[in-house]
Amino acid sequence: MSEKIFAYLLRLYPSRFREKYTEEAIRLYRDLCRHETGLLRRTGLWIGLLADLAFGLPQAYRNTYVSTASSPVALAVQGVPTFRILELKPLRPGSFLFGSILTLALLSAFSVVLRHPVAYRARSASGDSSSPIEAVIERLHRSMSSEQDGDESPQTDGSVPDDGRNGEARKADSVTTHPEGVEMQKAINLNERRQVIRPAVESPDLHYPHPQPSKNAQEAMPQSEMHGVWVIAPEGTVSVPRMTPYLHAVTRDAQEANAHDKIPIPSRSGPLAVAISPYRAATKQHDCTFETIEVLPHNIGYFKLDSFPDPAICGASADGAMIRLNDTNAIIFDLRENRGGYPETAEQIAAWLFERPAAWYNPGERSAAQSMTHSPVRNSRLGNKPVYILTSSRTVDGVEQFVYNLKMLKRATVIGERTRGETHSRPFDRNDDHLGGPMKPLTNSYGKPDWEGTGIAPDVEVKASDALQIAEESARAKIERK
Amino acid sequence: MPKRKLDPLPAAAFQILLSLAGEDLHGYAIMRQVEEQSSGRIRLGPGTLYSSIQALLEEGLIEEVDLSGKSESFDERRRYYRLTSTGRKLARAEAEKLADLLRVARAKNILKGEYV
Repeated sequence: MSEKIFAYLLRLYPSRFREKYTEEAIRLYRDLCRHETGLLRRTGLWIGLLADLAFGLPQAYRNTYVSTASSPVALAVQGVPTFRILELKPLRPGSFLFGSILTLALLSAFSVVLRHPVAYRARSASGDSSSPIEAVIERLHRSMSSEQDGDESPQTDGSVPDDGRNGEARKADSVTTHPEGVEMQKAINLNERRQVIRPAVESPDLHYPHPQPSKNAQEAMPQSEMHGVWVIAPEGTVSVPRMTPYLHAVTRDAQEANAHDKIPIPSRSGPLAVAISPYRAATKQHDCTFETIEVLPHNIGYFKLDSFPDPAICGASADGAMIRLNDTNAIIFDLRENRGGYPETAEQIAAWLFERPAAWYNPGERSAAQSMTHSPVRNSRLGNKPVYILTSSRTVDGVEQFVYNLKMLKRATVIGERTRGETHSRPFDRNDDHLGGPMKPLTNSYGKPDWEGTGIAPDVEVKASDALQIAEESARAKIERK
Repeated sequence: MPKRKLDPLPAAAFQILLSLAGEDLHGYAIMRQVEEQSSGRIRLGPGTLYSSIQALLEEGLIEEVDLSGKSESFDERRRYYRLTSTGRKLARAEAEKLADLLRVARAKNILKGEYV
């Protein structure tokens, strides 16, 4: 029993001490026990052992336990790799301190490096193998970097490309071009521009709503009037400069110009992934842009919405708004400040207004088979209620699609001003991962021109500021007639 | 020059060096020899004994020896230790230092004649 206790005490010693001396120490203990018999002597022995522990432990930990035997390396065959321990001395407290400080410093430096923004570098195996588009973008990034560093070094090829235009034309472009873009376009030579722009201009599948500027663009192309226009995309939409070369300058139509992005173009139209996150945050912060949902006198529902937000974020809110207005006798949609948004949300709200599926023209769809409302909406009591839509000259884009469809289906009375007449929704065709553009829209199912370029004429043309009053009076009269 | 681990020489280490001055001994024999040469005043426990032996080995003051076939009392289960020439010189130097102290103490009538 006492031997086991002694063995336990030996565990307090360093492992190397135990490896070397445990057996001998236990044998020594046995020798002592043989000599120290009797209670008093055995008690004295243990007192001595405990005192020995106090003195022996520090010394045991100070030892290095370096083998004093001859090195096995000496026995190794010459030329044959061997392993050996070079240093067995225990680390000093100073070494631990130094190591700790060094580790902390390295971790801190690593953390700083991770948080430091690094400029995006194009992926290219070699300079020769990159595509013309990648080469242009690469030079653009180099140009941006040097500009940010305040480096006014001249162009690498030693000359600014001559775009063949006079000073007036350049001056005019400088007005419509981002200031940084003017500098950046110097980094791109004429041939590179042509390689990037020509496929965009000559593609037969691309659609331009204004034939004349488009024609001008194609005619001007061979004349080497190549003046690339670089624009910086609005903050939060794309993370790299977006180029709307040549076409932008000629057609003055930024929406229809083909876009070339560093980020691969998504397979279908819609906001780029990098733009979604800030958009969602802003949408939530502004209650999905649903400004007012209330019931006016005579049980007239009033829904003022300043956009058709992403259904993934606000789909439930849109349905909630319609449920609140479900028992009204008429409903007024105030779209005078609406700037458009998602066609899906427009269709979702419109579905509440029909008792059966209705044809729904969506210029962004590739297939007419998808262009139907998802009516009837369960529990909807708005299928036969009067609908009024308030518009202004600022009503634009996706909201015009909402107005246009309800008007053409004779489901709503449009009151106010002619809408702006722009649609940004077009089927998007990807030429490749970096180049794409809008395609020709579907044939209008109503057999009439849509609002592009003309706007939507209201049924009752009044000032936008008077539209609500007119709509209320009309709704009240219609309700009273029933 | 790095500070030596056994400078100054601990009493236990000095006693071990002295115990090995006459013959090669194993651990338990060293403990008994120390106890005897100190007239029972010093008794090394296992921890102090083997940690001191290890320190002396690392400093090259003693060395392990293989006495198989050379000694009738050889126990193959035990390790035997021998004083090295360096250890002997150090033990002598330490003894002389103590002798000097002894002379001083005697000169100052601190010690009576019966001690030396």
